[in-house]
Amino acid sequence: MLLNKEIFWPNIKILSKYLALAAFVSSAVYAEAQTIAIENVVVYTANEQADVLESATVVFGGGKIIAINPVDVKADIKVDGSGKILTPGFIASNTTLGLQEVSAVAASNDTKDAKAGLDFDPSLAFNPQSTVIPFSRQGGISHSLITATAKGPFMGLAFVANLSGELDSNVKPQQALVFQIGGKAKGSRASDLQLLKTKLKSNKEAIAEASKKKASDKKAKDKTKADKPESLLFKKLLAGELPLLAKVDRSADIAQLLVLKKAYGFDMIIYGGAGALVLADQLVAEKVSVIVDPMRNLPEGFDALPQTLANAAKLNDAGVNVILTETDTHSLQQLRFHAGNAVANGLPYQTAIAAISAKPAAMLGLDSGVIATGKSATLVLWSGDPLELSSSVDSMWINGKEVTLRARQDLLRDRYMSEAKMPRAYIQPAD
Amino acid sequence: MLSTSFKQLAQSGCKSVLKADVILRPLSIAIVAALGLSACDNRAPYLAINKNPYPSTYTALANSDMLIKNATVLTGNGQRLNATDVLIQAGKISAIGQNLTDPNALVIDAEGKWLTPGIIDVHSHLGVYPNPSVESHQDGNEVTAPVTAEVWAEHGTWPQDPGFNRAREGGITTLQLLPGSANLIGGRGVTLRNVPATTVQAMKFPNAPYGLKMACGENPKRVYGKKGVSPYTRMGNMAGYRAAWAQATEYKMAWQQYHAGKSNTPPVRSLQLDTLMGVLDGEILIHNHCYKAEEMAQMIDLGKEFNYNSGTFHHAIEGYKIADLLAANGNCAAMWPDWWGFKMEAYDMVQENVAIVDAQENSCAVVHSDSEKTIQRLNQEAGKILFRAQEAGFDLKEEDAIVWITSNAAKSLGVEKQTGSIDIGKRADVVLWNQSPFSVYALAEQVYIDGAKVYDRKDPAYQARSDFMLGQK
Repeated sequence: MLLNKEIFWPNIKILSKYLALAAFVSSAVYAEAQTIAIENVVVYTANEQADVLESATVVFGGGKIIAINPVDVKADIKVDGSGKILTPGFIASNTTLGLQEVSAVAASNDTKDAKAGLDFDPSLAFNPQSTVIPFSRQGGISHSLITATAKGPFMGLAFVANLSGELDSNVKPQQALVFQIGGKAKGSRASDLQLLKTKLKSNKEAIAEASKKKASDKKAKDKTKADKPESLLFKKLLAGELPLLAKVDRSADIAQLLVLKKAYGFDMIIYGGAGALVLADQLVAEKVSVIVDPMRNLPEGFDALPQTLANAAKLNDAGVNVILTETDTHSLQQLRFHAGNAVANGLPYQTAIAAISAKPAAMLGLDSGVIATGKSATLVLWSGDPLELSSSVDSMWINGKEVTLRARQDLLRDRYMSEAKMPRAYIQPAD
Repeated sequence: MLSTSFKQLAQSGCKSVLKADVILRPLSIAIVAALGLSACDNRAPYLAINKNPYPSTYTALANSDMLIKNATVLTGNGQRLNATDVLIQAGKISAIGQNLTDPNALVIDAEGKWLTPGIIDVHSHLGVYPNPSVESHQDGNEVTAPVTAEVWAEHGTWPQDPGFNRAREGGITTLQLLPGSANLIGGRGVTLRNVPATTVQAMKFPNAPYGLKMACGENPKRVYGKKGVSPYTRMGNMAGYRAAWAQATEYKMAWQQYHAGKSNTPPVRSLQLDTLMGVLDGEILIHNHCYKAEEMAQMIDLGKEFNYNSGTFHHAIEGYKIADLLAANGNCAAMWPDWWGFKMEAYDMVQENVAIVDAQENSCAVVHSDSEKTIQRLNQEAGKILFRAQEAGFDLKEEDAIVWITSNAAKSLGVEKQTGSIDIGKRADVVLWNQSPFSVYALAEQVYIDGAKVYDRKDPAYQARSDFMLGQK
């Protein structure tokens, strides 16, 4: 890369090491104001037409894409993209990124809380300095939809963060109300569905009552049920402002949720969806997106029997809006390979690209995910086919800022691949 | 207190002692021979342990001779042969070269396709932790005592696990099922041919040595520490192994005394110590779940202390920190490409781990799955390592990467003379891929075990389905 990475490194910890370079810190503002042109590059736009641009030029600055293939390329910095591929930043869905450093180390794990209720907001615990984040960036991941892993049925609120590693990277809290329905070690799923149904009903009635009161007495000051945190969330849900993110596999359970969705008119996203295919027509009609881990092909339990590696392709063929994901937070680099495997099993290539960029971006209301003028300059420059094992990320920008691709793992590798006469503890590879 | 599997033979049965004891490893020949002799002396009745009471009944499926033409062949022993023919006769690799002919062989045009040895996974819990993952099927971990060397994975294996079929579709022809890692010494593993069967015996790899699962680190001390029994710490782990091996050493000596005629009473039979003695005798191979550099180094010394080979380290997340030590001691290390972060002992992962371990002279780097998912794509797992290592400057190619999931894996399991490479005389366990197996788009098109077609992506007649899946929606 032509850019001086030190200028663009956003990590405060790193910057503090470079006090001598304070001048560069102040020049970062100037650097961000610069425009960058990536030239001669193949662009996977991930737009609705699935346009692929050959030998294209993409100019960005001020965090946005300024121009694509301008007649006259004006940019402060030009990057040669020959032989490379430019994609939007990829988006992972339903991870616990930033909520856990080491899964089994309880004090580094904020994914669940015994007292957590329906309005549990894990975004408050998000740690942008987790080492999982730079490692995930090596897979071209720029954003993640993040959820807690509570036992349910209500699992708190989902949020979105970007992977810049900056302290303000928790970009969108409270993006969905997470609800889980399925077979249980103790008790029946019927109770969980009943609970959801009761809450929908009572909150709908409370809202109606409150609006009646408001209509009859504009000065009414009494706190109604609709003002409690839980009720506020249901108010949003019922108003179509907050989707229900339903973790569900079995066809019969999806069917039950669809009944409630039709009755109460909320937005719904399905995560899992092992049995979604037989309900494809209804899912299309109800505009329900399905987040699929395309590598699930085993009958994990009686809720998830009919899975094959062609799941994603079949759902897509049936017209369902399919979003691909990787379920293991420490393995988000696999997202692009999962998409590649989905392609090997029948999903059209550019659909797979969109399923990890444009489609989740649209679902989450993100400004990135598509390469188009005016969109966020959240871009990944790949050495080759981004879904192939042999490719890797050359450079990456989140909202126009270049991010480092060095992760803790690289430092360990460099330490142990160095020749040393002294113990390796004395070898300190540069961040 | 003699168990039923204890063979009691009269003096006149000295011949049948030889017959009854199936020879697992060359080393055991000497012992069995000694048994035979001593069985014919004046003492009666003579007791010998039947070392193979649950013998393999595996037979190859129907096969025909086959000539695979013009494939890109990764032999599994480090070679890449372009546009090469491979002839398979009577279930064995019989010729490798150009312009081969055999009028009796079925010809397969493999132009543009790649041929590799059957893929081998040294670490699987298929069958013992099968899908569906229901309580009734949790048969992989006897979490009742820190040392349960007496249990055998094959006794908890459900052959109808649909995962066997999925693994075969990804090219897996041989796999080792291991007990879980809750215990210091968890029990025997078993090596299988990946053929559909209704009994475990019908899948057992004939004459493959047994494995013994051991586990270092966090799991045993967590599981038993919680119960208020040892081990509570890594110190307790080591004390637990040492106590078990010390006991096994005494047991072995007691049998030696008996065999040598220095004692007329056989030792009291212990199923647990039978297995440990099998390790001391070199008949059973150690497969040790062990992540950290300092722990692997301790386990190597533990093997030296009790005079057994410390075998294969599984997971070996920190193998790269002691690559020289592993190679110097002849240990295999079976590793993932990039799984990490689920516990502290899995924190120091590097994606070049396998390549760094492999780079040592006399190394034995293996890529394993420990997963019913990635066992279906060990080729891709190895591929990720290959390309990340190339980026880090390693001079590695496809013909090197395939070794990690074929011949080195066979070596770890002690079946390297029979499978793991495309060499004349070996079992014809081969996979025909639609392209380089190290592409994300690679698909196994046909899979052969002992020359018999066990999977064909294009022919439903060769796509096995578990009983469990019938009639399910």
